[in-house]
Amino acid sequence: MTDIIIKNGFVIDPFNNIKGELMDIGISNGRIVDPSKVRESEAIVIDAGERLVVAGGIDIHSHIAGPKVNIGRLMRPEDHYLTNVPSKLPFRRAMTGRTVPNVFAIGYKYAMMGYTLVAEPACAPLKMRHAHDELNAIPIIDKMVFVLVDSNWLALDLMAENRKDLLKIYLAWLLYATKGYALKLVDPGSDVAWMMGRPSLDLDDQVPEYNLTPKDIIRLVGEANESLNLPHTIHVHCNRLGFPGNYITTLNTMKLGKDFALRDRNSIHITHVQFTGYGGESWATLESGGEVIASELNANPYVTLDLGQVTFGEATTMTADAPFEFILYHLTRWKWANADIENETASGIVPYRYRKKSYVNTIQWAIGLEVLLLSRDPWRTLITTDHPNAGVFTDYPKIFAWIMSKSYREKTLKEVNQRALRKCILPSINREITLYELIIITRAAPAKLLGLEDTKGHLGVGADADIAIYDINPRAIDPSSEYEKILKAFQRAWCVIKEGKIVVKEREIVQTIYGKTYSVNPYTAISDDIRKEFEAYLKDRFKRYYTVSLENFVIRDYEIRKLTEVRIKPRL
Amino acid sequence: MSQEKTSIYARLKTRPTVPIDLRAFRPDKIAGLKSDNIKNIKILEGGKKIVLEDLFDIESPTTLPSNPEDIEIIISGDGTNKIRYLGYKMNGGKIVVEGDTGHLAGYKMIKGSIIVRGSTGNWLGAKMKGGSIEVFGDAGNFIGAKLPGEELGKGMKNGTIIIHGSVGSYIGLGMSGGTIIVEKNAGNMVGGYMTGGLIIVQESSGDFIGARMSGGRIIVGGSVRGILPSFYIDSIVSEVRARGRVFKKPFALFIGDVLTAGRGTLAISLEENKTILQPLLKLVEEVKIP
Amino acid sequence: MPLTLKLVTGRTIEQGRSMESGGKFSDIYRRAVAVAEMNPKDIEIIGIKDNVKITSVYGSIVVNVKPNNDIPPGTVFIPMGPWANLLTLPITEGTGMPTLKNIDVYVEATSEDATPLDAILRFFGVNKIHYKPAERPLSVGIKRVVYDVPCPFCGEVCDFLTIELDGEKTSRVLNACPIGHAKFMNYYRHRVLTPMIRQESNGDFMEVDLEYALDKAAEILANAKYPLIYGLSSTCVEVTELAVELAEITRGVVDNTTTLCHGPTVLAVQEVGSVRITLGMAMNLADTIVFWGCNPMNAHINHIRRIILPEGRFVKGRKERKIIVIDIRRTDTAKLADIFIQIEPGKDYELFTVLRMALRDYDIEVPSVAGVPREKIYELIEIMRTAKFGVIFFGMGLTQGGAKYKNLEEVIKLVQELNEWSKWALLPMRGHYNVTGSNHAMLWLTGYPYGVDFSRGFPKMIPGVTTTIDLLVNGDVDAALIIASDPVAHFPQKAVENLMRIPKIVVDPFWSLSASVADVLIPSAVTGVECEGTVYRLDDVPLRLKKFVEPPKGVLCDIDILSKLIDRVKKLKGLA
Repeated sequence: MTDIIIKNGFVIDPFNNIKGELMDIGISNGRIVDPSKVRESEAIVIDAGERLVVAGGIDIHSHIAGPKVNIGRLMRPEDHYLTNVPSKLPFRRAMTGRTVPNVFAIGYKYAMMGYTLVAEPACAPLKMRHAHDELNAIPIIDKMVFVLVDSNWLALDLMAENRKDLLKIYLAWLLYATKGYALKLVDPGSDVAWMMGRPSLDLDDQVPEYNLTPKDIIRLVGEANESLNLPHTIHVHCNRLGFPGNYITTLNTMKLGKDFALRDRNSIHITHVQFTGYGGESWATLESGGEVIASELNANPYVTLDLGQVTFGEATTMTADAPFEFILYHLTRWKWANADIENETASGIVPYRYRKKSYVNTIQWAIGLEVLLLSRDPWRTLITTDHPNAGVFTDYPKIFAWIMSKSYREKTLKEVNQRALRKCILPSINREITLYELIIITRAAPAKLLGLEDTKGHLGVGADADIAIYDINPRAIDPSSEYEKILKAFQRAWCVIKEGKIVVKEREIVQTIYGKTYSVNPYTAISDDIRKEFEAYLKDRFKRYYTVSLENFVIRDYEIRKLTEVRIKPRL
Repeated sequence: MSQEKTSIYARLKTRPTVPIDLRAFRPDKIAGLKSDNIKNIKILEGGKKIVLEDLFDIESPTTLPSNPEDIEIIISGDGTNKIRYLGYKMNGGKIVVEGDTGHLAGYKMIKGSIIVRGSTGNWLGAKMKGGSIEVFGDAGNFIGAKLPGEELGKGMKNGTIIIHGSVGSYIGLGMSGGTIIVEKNAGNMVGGYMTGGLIIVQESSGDFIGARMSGGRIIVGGSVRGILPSFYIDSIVSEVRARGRVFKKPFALFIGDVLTAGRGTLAISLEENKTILQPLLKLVEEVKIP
Repeated sequence: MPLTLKLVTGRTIEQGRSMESGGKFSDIYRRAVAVAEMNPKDIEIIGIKDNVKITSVYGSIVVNVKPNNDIPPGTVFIPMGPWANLLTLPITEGTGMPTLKNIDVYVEATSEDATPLDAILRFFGVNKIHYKPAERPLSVGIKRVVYDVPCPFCGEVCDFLTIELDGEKTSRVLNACPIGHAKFMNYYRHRVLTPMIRQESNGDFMEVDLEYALDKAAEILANAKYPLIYGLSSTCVEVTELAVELAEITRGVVDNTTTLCHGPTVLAVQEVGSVRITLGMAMNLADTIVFWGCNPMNAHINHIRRIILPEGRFVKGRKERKIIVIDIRRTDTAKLADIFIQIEPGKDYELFTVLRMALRDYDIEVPSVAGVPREKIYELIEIMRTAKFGVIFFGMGLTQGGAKYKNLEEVIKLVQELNEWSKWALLPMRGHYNVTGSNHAMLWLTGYPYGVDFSRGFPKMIPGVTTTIDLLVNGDVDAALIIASDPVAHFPQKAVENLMRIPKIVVDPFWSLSASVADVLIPSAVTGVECEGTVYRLDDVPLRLKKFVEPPKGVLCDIDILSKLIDRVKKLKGLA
C-alpha cells in the first residue's frame, strides 16, 4: 500500500486538542503516522490547499442493514424507481434507493459525505447473520451492529429468577455468538406484550408473564453492561416512543443512568430523543419537550443522547418498537409490515412523509434542534436522523447548516407550520454551533461513546487513516451567513481516505473496498467453569424456546468479511 | 389536427434478438435536430449501448421542425415487437408503428399520439398523463396501470387508450383518470384498485372486475366471469352512454367496492350475464328482466 | 365420454423423493410425475382403463391414471414436472407467474402408451438428449457423526438432522423427512463430474477441462447482448450475490425461482406490506392455524411435526391448536384438520373479499361464495376474530391461479385487519431451501427481490417485462446461465422452447433435464454437503449450511465457479 501525505490541510482534531491549524498528515499502512516518517518521493501527495481536514465521520445510529431494512426495501419499490445511479465498473457498482437504499448506495453515499464508521442499531439475535450478510456487502465504511435484548425471553427468565450473574454471562455470550457490538433496548419489554397481542408498556407497567417492569429491565441490563465492561453503554430507545406527553418517561429513563454507573463515564445512551421528547396530551396539543430534556442532560452526567432529527420529506419508519408502528399504520393507512421473532423481539415498518406544513412534523423538527442547541456539552449530544425514520442520512448537511447558522434556521422557520412554532422555543434560540463543535459531535464524541477513541475519531499518530477533506477553507468562511457553502461542502467531501486508501477523489467514488466489522467479545475471557455451567443451562432453555439448534445459532468468525473483535475482560 | 406533419421513417434493418430501448427516439426529443444527429441518437440493444442507425434505416429531412407537434415518426420492419419504452414521457407529436410494439409503449406519456397497427406488450400507457394511444391489434396486461408499490391513483391520470382488439389482465390498475376502451375482450381484474377514470370493455371480461375500486366507472358490454360480493347492485338501466359510445341494451349497475368505501360504478350488460345476475336482481325494486 | 376438466399441478412427496433418489431420468421419477390423479367418478364417466390423454391449448400428453377420492370431481391433478408443463399455460398476465393451476383441459380415455420423457423433450425442441450420470467416488473409512445438520431441500431448512458417515458415504440420516433422507443418502448419485461442451457437429457432449469450459461460458456471456441468469434458490446467498454482480457486468437480467413460486407473494408485499413471524412464534403461541392453498404434509413434511404438534411455551401441543385447511382438494394436510373448507378453484379472491366484509359486519348478499355457504364464512371469521394467536400458512394454491398476486394482497390485508381484533400473522410456505435468501440478497444488492434487469446499468424490475417466463416466452434474451435450477423440468412448454434456441450454460451438481440440454455444462459440488454457505429459511431465519464431505476431485463449489466466471467476463469486457 502506497503511503500518502496530506499537505497544507486545515486540521481540526478535538481529541488531540487541535482547534484548527495548517499542518500535514502522514499515512502509512492504513494508519496515521508522523508526516516526517513518510518519504514524499514515494508517496501520493495530496495538496489540501487549506481545506478542512478531519477524521472520518461516525454515525452511531443508522438503520443500514438487517431484516428490517431489507423488508423496507421489499415493500418500497417506489423508493427505487427514480433514484438510480448506473454503475461505473470496475470502480463503482450501481446505486439505487433513497430512504431504503441498496448496500452500495449506503456505503458510497456515506463515504462521499466523509463518514467512515456507521452503527446499525438494532437486530434480533436470531437474524444477526442476516445483518452481517448485509454489512459484509456494504462497501467502504466500517460498521457494527447492536443486538436487541430487552424482550428476550431467555434474558427475562434470568431477570425474573433473579439470577443476575447468569444474566451477565448470557448477555456476554449473546454478543459473542451474534458478533454484536452493544446491547440495545427498544421500548423495553413492550415486544413481549406485543407478541401476546397486548399494548405497549410505560416504565412502571408490568411485563406480561414476568414479574418485572421495563425499569427493572433497563437497570439490570445497564448493570450487566457496566460490569461486563462493554465499550459502549446500553443504547436505549425509551418507552412510550411516539406518544404525546412521553418526555416524562424519557426524563425518568435518563435518571436511571445513575443507578448502575460503575465506571467513570456515562452509563446510558438515549437514542433518537426527538421521538420521545413530546409534551402535550394529544397530537392536537403536541408540544416540544426539547428544553426539559436538554436541561436534564446538562444536569445529568450519566447520559448521552442522539437526536433522531426530522429533516422533512420522505421517510421509511422502521423500528423494533412493533406496537408503535402498528399505531402509525393507523395514521397512514397505507403499507405496514411487521415481523415477530421467536422469543426475542418484533419489528414494524411503515412509510411516512414529514411535511413542513404539518403541525406535528414541525414540532418534531424543532425538538431535535432545541435539544442540540440547548445542550452545553457537544461530547454528549450526537446528530442522527435515526435513518430512515426521521430523515435520510444524506440530509445530515442540512442539520449541520441548521445548527451552524441562525439565518438558515430562520429561512426554514418561515416555511414550516407557524402555529406549531408558538409551542416551541426554537425561534428564540440564537446559539450557533462552531465548526470545532461540529467536528466533536460528528467525530470525536461518537468515537469516545463507542469506546473506539484509540483508533477512530481523531488524526493522532496510530489512529486508523480514515480522513475526510471538505472543500471549505474554515478561515475564509462564515458558516452563519454562508450556509449554502456548508450544505454543499458536507454533502460531497472533496477527498476521502479509508484505512489509507483514497476512495473519494474530487467528490467521486474512485474505488470499491470493504471496511471492517467491529464486534465485542466479553465471553471468551470468562472462566471455563462458569461458562460450562451457563452453557448447560442455555442448552436446555434454548431447545425449549427456539426452532433452530444452538449450534447453528452461533455466528462464526469467518462468516464476517473483515472481523475486528474487541476482546474485553468483564469485571464480574 | 389537420396541418401536414414532417415524417421520419425508421425501418429495422434486421430482426433483433433482444429488446430495444427506444425511449430517446420521440418527436419532442428530436424536434429541431439535423438528420445526422437523429441517426446518432443513443439507444439500447439489450444492455448494449448503440445508436439508432445501427439498427434502423432512417429516412428524414435534413432538418426537423422545432415544434414536436409537426413531427411524425413512422417505425416499421420485422421485429418491431422487440421495441420497449416507445414514446416514454412523450410530450407531443406522433409515433406510428407499422407492426407490433413491445412492452411499456407510451409509458408516462404526456401529450401527442401513438398509433400501433399491430399489437403491443404489457404496460401500455402505464402512468400516462395525457395524449392518445390507438392499437389496432391486441394489447397486453397492466394497460394504464400504476407500478407495483405505488399509491393507488398513481396509474393513468388522463388521456385516451383505444384498443381495437383484446387485452390481458389488470388493465387500468390504480388509474385515477382518463379513458381506456377495449373493443373486444379483456382478461381478469379490469379496473382493479382504480380511483377514477373510465374503462369500457365492449365484449366479455374475466373475473374480479373493479376489485377494490374507489371511484371511476367500468362498463362491460359482454359477459363477465363473476361479480365480487363487495359490489352492491344499485339499479337496472335501459341503456348506457359514455364517450360517444351508446350501448342500447339493459345494464345492471353496481356500486363498490365496499371494502374501500368506494363509489365506483360498474355497468354490466344484463343479457349476457343472466345466470350471474339472477340471484341479485330480486334485491332491486321494480326489475323486469327483458 | 371425454370431459373438460380443470388441471391443477403441485408437489407431492413421491415427486420430491424420486427426484432426489432416482434422478429425473429414472423410472421412479417418471412413475411419480407422469400420473394424473382423478376422482373415480370422473374416471368412470370418461371410461378410463389405465391411460388417459390430456390436452390443453398448448399440448397433449398420455399418462397413467390414479383414482383418488380426495380430488373433487371436475378436477385433474398432475404433479409438477415435464409432463404437467406440456399442458400449462405460459400466460403470466404480466405478473411473471405462468398459469399452473386451474387450466381447462380435455380429458379422454386412450389405449396409447404413456408419453415417454424423450418425446416430451423433443416436443420442447430438444434435438438430442445426452446424459451420462456418474456416481461420485466415495472413500470409506473413518466413521463420523455430524449433528445439527441443516437440510438443503425445502424452505423449512430443518437444522436438527443427524448424519452418520462412513468416510464420505452416508450410512444413516436421522430426523429427516423422506425427501431430506433421500437427499443425503443419494447425494453421490446422478452426478455431473466433468465439465462438458456440446459439439456443434453432432450435438454430443464432449468432456473438457474446467478452464476450457469456463472460458467458453465467459465468451457466451460476454458476447451476449442481454443474457439471463436464472436459478439460485438451491444454493447459498453468496452465489446470488455473485450472480447479481455478473448481471451488472453483462447488463443482463438476474432472476431466481421466486418468479415461479412465490413471486406474487413478493409483489403483494410491495403493495401492502406484510405481517410475518418466525416459526417459533407459531410453535410457542399459535392457537389457531390456517393452511390455505398449501399442503405441508407433502411439500414441507416436517412442518407439522416441528410447529403444530409440539408443546410450545404457551400452547400445550396439538390439542390446544385449532387447525383449519382451505383448499380445492382434500389434501393429506386437510385430513388432520379440525375444519376443512373446500373452495372452487380460482375463487380465493372472492373468499377473501367476503371474509373481510364479514369482519366488518357488512351484508353479504349472495348465499354462497366460492362454493362456501354464507353461514360457514361468518363462522370462520368468528373463529379468526376470537383466536388468541393465529397464523395463516399459504402456498402456491394462492399464487399460481385466480387473481394471482392480488390474492396475496388480500390475504395480507385480511391479516392486517384481523390484528385490530386479535393477533394474526402469515407465512408463505416457500419451496426451495434458499429461495427466501436469494430474494433477500437481491434486495440488499438491487432493491428488488427478483427479475432484476441491468440493461441500463442500474437495477430495474417490472413484472411481466423483466421476469424470466415473460422474457423467455417473448424470446427476449440471447443467452442463459442456469445455476442450481431445472427450468426445463418446470417451465411451461413455450418458455422451454425458446430457451432451446439460445446458448445455455448450466451449473449443476446433478443431471437435471436442463443439464442434459446444456451447451456448456459445469459440474458443481452439492451445497449443504460438500460446500458451506448461508441460506434463509422460509421465515427469513438465516442458517449456515454445513460442509462435511470434500467435493469430488476437480469439482468446485458454486461460489468458486461464479467467481472464476466473473473474472473471465470482466477480462473479456475490459473491466478487470
